[in-house]
Amino acid sequence: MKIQMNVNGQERILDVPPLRRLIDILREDMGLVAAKIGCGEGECGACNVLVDGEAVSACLIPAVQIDGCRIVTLEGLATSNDDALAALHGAFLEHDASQCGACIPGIVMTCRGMFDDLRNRRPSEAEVRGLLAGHLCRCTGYEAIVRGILKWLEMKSEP
Amino acid sequence: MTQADRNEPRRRNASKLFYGTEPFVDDLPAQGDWHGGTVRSRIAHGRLIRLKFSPEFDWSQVVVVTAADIPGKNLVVCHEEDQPSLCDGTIRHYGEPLALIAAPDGELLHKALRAVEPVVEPLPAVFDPFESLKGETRIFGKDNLFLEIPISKGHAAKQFASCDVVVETNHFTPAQEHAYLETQGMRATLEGNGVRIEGSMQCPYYLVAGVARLLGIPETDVRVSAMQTGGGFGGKEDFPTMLAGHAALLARKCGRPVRMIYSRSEDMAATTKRHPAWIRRKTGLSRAGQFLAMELDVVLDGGAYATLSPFVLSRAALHAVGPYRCDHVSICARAVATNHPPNGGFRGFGCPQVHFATETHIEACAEKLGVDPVELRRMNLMKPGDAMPFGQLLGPGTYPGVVLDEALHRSRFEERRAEIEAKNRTSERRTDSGDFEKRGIGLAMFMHGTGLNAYWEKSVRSRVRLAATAEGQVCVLTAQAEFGQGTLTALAKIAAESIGLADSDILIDHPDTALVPDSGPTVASRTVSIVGSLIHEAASRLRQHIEERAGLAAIYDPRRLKAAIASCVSGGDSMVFEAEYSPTDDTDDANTWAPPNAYPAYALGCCVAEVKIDTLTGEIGVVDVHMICDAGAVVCHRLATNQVFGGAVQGIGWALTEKLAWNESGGMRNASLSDYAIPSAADVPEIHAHFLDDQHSERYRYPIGLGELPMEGPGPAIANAVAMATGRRPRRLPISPEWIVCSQGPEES
Ligand code: FES
Ligand code: FES
Repeated sequence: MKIQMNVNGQERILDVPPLRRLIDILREDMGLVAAKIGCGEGECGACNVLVDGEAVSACLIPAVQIDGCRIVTLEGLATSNDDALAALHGAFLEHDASQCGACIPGIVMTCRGMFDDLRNRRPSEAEVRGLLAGHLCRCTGYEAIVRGILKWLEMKSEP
Repeated sequence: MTQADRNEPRRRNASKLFYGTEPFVDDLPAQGDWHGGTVRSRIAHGRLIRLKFSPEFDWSQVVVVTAADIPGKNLVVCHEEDQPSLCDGTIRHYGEPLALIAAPDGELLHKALRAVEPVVEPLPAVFDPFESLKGETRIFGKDNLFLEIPISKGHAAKQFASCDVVVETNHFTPAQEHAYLETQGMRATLEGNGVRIEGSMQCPYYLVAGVARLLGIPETDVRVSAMQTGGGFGGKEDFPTMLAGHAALLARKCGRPVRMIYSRSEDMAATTKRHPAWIRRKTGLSRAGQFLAMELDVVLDGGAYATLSPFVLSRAALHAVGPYRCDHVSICARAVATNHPPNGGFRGFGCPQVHFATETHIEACAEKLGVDPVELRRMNLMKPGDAMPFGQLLGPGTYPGVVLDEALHRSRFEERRAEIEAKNRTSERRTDSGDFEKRGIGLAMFMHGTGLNAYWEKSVRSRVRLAATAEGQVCVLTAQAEFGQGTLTALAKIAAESIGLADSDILIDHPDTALVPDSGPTVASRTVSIVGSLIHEAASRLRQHIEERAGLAAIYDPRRLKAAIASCVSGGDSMVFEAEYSPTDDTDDANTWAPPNAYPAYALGCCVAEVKIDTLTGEIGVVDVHMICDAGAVVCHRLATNQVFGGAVQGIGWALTEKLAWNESGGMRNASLSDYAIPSAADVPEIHAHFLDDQHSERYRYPIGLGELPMEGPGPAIANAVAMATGRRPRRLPISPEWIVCSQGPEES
C-alpha cells in the first residue's frame, strides 16, 4: 500500500506491505539505523522513535498505522540543533551512561519525548526509574543512566 | 570528590553510542546482502533421516547448505572436537542446526525455512545430569562425563571424625540467559581466495581458526573484523565461531555477502546459558568455629556438547572453597553431558555457582554453632601466604578480611542488622493490622582469579603490538573486542600513561585480524590485567627506544615526546614494538585444569544486600546493595564503577527473577524478553560501589581484572538476607514468591 509520512522533516511517500513494521521501514528501507532492534516485541524500547511527538516502539507499529504521521528518529534530532538533546548528551557523557550502547538511542528518544512533561516538575529518582520501566538494558544496571537523566533535568531547571 | 569524578578519559565511543552512529553488524548498509537462516531440530535426541523440502516452494530462489556442502571439517572448533557445525546424522539437542538457507530478502527466507521438514527418528533423551551419569543414554564418550576434576589436600574423610560439628547442605543454581541486548549477528563476504567476517563477538581469532577449519582454507585467508558488540557477558565467546562458520558456508555457496542476524527468540532458544549447578557441601568445624575439613561435590549440566564446560568447571573447582582456609579438603567437580542445548561461558564462569553454595553454607554452619556468621567468616578468611586446596598461596597484599571490614563499615551492616531484627519482631505482632513487611540483610564474600588458568594462559601466547605514526601518535593493536566493558578506553589509557603521551594521541579501534596480532580472547577479566600488562611492556620499550634515539634522559612533556616520536618515524625508523606473554613461573604442563599457581592474582569482593519481603504475596524487593571490590589498580574509575553496577544487577536478576522454563524437548520455553524477566530500572535500587585501591601496597600498582567479579556477590547476599527475613534458608535460585509464601521448611535440592 502507499503511505505518506513525514520523516525527520521530509515528506515521504512509500509503497510498502501494510504490515511491514515501522522499524524495518526506517532501518532497511531508509537506512536510518540509530534505532536498534532488541526484542521485536515491544519489551525493550531499543527501537523507540517519536511518532507525532511521542516515543513509541517502532517494532510494534505496522505501516498502516503511520500513514499521515510525523516521525522523528535520532538522526533527525541530532541534526536539528535540539538544545534538550545536547544537554542530555552532556549529562550521559559525564556519567558514562552507555556501555555497549544498544539500548541507548531508544532511551534517548524516550527522554526527549517526555521532556516537555518533565521540564515542569523535578521527578525523584524513583520516578525516573519508573519512566525507564519500558526499557531494558543488560549492561549498566541503569545506575549511570538514572543519574544522567537526573543531572539533565537539573541542568534544564536552571535558566 | 567521589571516585567517579576523577579526571579520567571519557569512554572513547560514548558520543557515537549516544547518537546511535557506532555501527553494530546489522547497522551496516545492505550492499545486496542475502539473509541467512537456520533449520533447527525440534527434538532433543534422535537420528536425522533426511530433510523434506516442500515441492510447493520454488527452491531456485534460495540457496541451501547441508553438512554435505562443508568443504573442510564439519566442526565447531573449541576444546573437544565433538560439536558439528551442521547435524552429522545424530541430533543431540533441541535447536541443533540441521541446514542453512540464504535468500535475497527476509520474508522469502522465512517462507523457505517453513518449507523444510526434518524427518527424524527420536531416541530417548536425558536432561538430568545424575540420570545421564548412569549412562543409559549415550551423548558423549563412554560415560557422558565431559570432565572430572578431583582436588584434594590433607585427609578430609579422616578428619571429619575429630570435628565437633559437621554441617552438610545441598544447593542448586539455575541456568541464566545472557540477554545481551544485541542478538548474535554475523556477516560473511567473499574476499580474495577466502572470506571476510564482520560481526558481534568477543574473540576474533577464535573465528579465524573456526572458519578456516570449516572451509578447509588457510587461516591467512580468513579475515575477521569485530564490530561494536551489543553486550557479550561470555555469550559471545564461543558461539560466534559457529555462526561465522554458517554465514561463511552460505556466502561461499551463493557467491554473495550473507548476513545472519538472530531474532530474539532464536537467540534465546539456540545459544548457550550459564551452567546449572548442583553443589553438595560438607564442613567439619571445631567448637570455636575453625574450618577443619571440607568435602564438596560440584556437578555442572554441560548440555549436549562440551563447548566451554571444561574451562567453567576448572574455575568452579579452583574457587570452590572461596576465600577461606582449610587444611583438609576434598573436591570432586564434574561436567556432565545432557540433551539440553550446550551451556557455556557467562560472566563469573563457574564462580557465582560455587560462591552461592559457600556463602549460604557458611550461614548454616554459624547457625548450627550458634555464632555470628560474620565472625565465623572473619575467623576463617585467608591471609597472604595461606594455601588454597590446589596448592597456590594467596599472594601478598591480598586481604579478604579488609574487604569484609570495609563492607561492614560502609553498609553499617551491624547497625542495620540490629535495627531490622527489632523491627521484624514488632511487625510480627502487628501482622493482624496489615503490616506484612519483613526485612533482612545479608552479605557474601567472593573472589575471582584473573585471566585464563595458568596452563591455558601460557598456551595462548598472547601478543600485542604498538606502532607509531609519522604524526607522533601511537596505534594500539590488540585482538580485544569492545562490547561495553570499555576495552578501547582502558587499553588506550594504559598505553598513554605507560608511554607518556596524551590520551588523544593514542589510536585504537575495534580489532580486525588483518591488522592486529592475536592477544587472546576477550574473556576471563583478562583484558586490562593480562593484555594491559603486555601493552605496558611494549610501551616501556617504545619509550626507552625514543629516549635513546632522541638522546634525552627522560621526556616528561607529552608534546615533546610526540614530536620526538614523529621525527623518529619520519626519519625511517619503523617504531613497531611487540610484547608476548611469558609466564613468570614454570607451569606444570601435565596439570591442565588445576595447575598449582592457577592465577597470577585474585580480585576480591563483598556484597551486602538488604531486602524487604511482603509475607502475604511473597514479593521480594531489593532495597539496598553495597558492592566492595578489590581488583588491584582501577584503570578508569567511572567505567569500572559502572561495570560493578551492571554486574550487580545481573546478579540480582539471577537471584530473583530470571527463571528458565524448559519445553518437553529440553529447549527454552520462555524464549522471549517478555517471558524471561531481566531486571528493569524500576526493579533495582540505587547501588553503592566502592573500590579498595588507593593504598600504598604493591597489589594496587597493577589492575587485576574486574569484569566478572561483581556478578558473583548479589546471589548469595540476597539469599542470606531472605533467610534473615523469613527464617528459612533458600538453597536454590531464583528465590520465588511462591517459595516465600509456601509454609513448609527449607526447600530440598
Ligand atoms: S525492539 Fe522494539 S521494543 Fe524491543
Ligand atoms: S548499554 Fe548495553 S544494553 Fe544498555
